[in-house]
Amino acid sequence: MATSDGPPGATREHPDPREEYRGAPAPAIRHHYDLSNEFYALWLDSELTYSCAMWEPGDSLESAQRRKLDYLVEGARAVGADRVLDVGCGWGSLLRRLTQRHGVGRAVGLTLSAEQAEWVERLELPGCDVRLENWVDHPARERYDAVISIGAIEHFARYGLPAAERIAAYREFFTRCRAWLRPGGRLALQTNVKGNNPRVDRKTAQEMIFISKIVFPDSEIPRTSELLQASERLFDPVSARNDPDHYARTAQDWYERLRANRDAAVGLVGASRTADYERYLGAVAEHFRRRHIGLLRIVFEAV
Amino acid sequence: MITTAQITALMTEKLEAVREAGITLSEDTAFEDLGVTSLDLANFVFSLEDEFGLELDPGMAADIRTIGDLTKVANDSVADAARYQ
Repeated sequence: MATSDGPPGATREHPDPREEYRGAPAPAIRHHYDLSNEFYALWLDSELTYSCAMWEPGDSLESAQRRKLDYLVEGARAVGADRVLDVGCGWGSLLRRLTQRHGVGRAVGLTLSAEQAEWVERLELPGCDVRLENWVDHPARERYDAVISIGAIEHFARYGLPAAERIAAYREFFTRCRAWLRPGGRLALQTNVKGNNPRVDRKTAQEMIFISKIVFPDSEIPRTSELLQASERLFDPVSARNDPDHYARTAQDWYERLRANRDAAVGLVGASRTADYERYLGAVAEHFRRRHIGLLRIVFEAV
Repeated sequence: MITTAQITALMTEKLEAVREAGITLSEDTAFEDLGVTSLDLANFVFSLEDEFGLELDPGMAADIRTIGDLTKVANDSVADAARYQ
């Protein structure tokens, strides 16, 4: 497994200090995603896809997750590609889908979670590399036919940054993606975004603060407008859809699975963390329904 | 009448971002420039309600950009309450 250890800044690949990273620091990422692989396996789908599914009538969570992956793979024109980058690869379900279903030659996944990286390593997926590496540190000279990032950019601007810095953070990501691709190459992104219903009652505000302080510390989700602005002169948007009800349903499924496996969950991570996750999954489904959060699936083309 | 000074004092007490920003607050200071998120602001509006006995429309937090905007909204609410007493 390749790592990019050492202090931020000078490395063999990057002799010049890199841009200050404005995203959630690695410990904040690990706080959530390193909790316990076995715990996540209790309530995520069988391939541990920790992001919003794409539902059609008759879907199970598993088939809806595959449908989501295929949607983004096809949008990114990654089918049959030589090399694809997955930024925020989680437990590897996209890496597997790319190589085993869509004939991709080499799929490279980046994550800041040591537990996830270890899990993917153990899968020994042919044609897949997982790297414990921040995208900021991924070599600029690498070339990919497509870049896909699912449920990661929510962490690329840390909580409490002024607006201009948030856009700068996203712009840095788009700049890197642009360098990894050729003109015409595509970036497929899926991310939570701020919803446009500002009428938040006290209980909802408290729940959202709980989620942002306890469950996902140090991250703040983007506005759609910030992503579009940050991508100007680098990418053209090709397609975009907002699917909050899909995430409400996904989170509802997760919540019910966790509830059903509560004893095992408590055995793995304790009663307090289990209660935190039940509260968060239950609350967030309602936040999507009320349009306080959206779920953006957006495809960009490098210009 | 609620003054800007009263509001900025409460902001300094309740909002970590404000304490960390360490800049002089004025009517024209924008919450976004302080790193105060829309969620922090919504929560702060609740603190304001509690502190001054106000009832504010939860939807109008979205239109508040500056400390001056918030002061005006708070005082409009005070005036409305007085009018209907």
